[in-house]
Amino acid sequence: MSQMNEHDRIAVMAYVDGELPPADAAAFDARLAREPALADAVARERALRTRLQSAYAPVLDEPMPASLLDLLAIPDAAAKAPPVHLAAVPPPPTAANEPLPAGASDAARAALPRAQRWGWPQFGAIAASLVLGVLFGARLSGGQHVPGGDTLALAVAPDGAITAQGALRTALEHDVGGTVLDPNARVGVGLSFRDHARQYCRTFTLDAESSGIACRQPEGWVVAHLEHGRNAPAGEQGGYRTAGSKLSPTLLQAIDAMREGDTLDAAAEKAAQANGWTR
Amino acid sequence: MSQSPLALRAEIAALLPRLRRFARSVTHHREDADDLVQIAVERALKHLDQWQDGTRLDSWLFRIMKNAWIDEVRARGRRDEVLAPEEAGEHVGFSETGSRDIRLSIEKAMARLPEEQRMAVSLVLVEGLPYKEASEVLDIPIGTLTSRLARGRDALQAMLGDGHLAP
Repeated sequence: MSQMNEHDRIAVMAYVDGELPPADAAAFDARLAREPALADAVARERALRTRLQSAYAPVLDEPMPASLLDLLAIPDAAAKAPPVHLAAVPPPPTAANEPLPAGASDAARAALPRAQRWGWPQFGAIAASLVLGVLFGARLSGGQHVPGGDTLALAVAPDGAITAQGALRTALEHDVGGTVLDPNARVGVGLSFRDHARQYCRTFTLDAESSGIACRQPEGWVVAHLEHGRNAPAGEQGGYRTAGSKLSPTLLQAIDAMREGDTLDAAAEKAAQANGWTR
Repeated sequence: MSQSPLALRAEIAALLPRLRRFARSVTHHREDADDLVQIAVERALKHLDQWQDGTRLDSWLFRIMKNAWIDEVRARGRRDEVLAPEEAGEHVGFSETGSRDIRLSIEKAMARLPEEQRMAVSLVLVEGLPYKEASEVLDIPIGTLTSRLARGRDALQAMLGDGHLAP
């Protein structure tokens, strides 16, 4: 292989590194079929790549030093907020987050406890903790009730399923046809649609930090897609986003991949909500 | 620059495992690697406003790490020979006795590469960066990157012996 000319040597590398334009890669494939020396060079490069990757892959799973985590800890306001718990299991339903009867009056809705409203630091902290929790493989203990469950927007079950809690759950359950149950809650619900399993799914935003898609399953609203930061729709501070609000391209792609049929209009949302979002 | 610092922090946190991996291959030393990540993340947090929305955050952080490491190497170079491979003439054999031995011999072989080749190999072969991104991280033209990659790969193949048929 040392006799290989410079041009071929660079081509082998670029081929293995996925840097050849499609047409060149196809032509290279054809050469590989009839030039054993070239095929051997490719095999060697692939093997080297694999060996390097498997040599360094274990670093990804090593415990993260506390000093590094501390550097990225949630600053200032969020640090002073009450601790945010990633629930091992969704807290048991309470009067506050139990779905209201479909015919509940506006007055009854307005009377929802204030505890369901909270400011952005908690949301931000939740978003960040969620990332951290998922990332560093935090093993969440199972089975215990979460104090202050009403400050949760998202909870992670031991199996990794993320469910909507608190105000997010309330909004997903009740905000239909442009009606906002709790205008102070910094959550928003956007589009609704049915997925390939005929489940109802809805897009949501958590403050301006995060956005995602949750689908109604028997156990609640299970998050199917979640994104943070620059992927989240830019917009005014908090508040409700209408169906026409700008959604990130990745979120739109996710919707298109998931949906069966068109997104629901206001009337269809109301009908689905009256039916308890069941299939 | 619409990205909020909090969301950026979360994204940087998400990249920490990869930053550590890159640091390990560059410094070939566990403590040095975490020190390097620490320094780089501190710098990044201080200059969050310099990250341009729409560019890759990982590349930006790798670039900060590269610069921090070059500073460190320069500072050390005058004091001692920390970076000189300890057994310069030794042949690095490819051991079949266990995955840990395999890993060590690859790390040793990487440690013997010149700094510039090691970074190129690490960014492209380990971190999977496209040539364009890697060349920007290293502040070099793509042609220079590919020639460093070629030399680095040849040297590794030579040091690691004929183990290419092993899994």
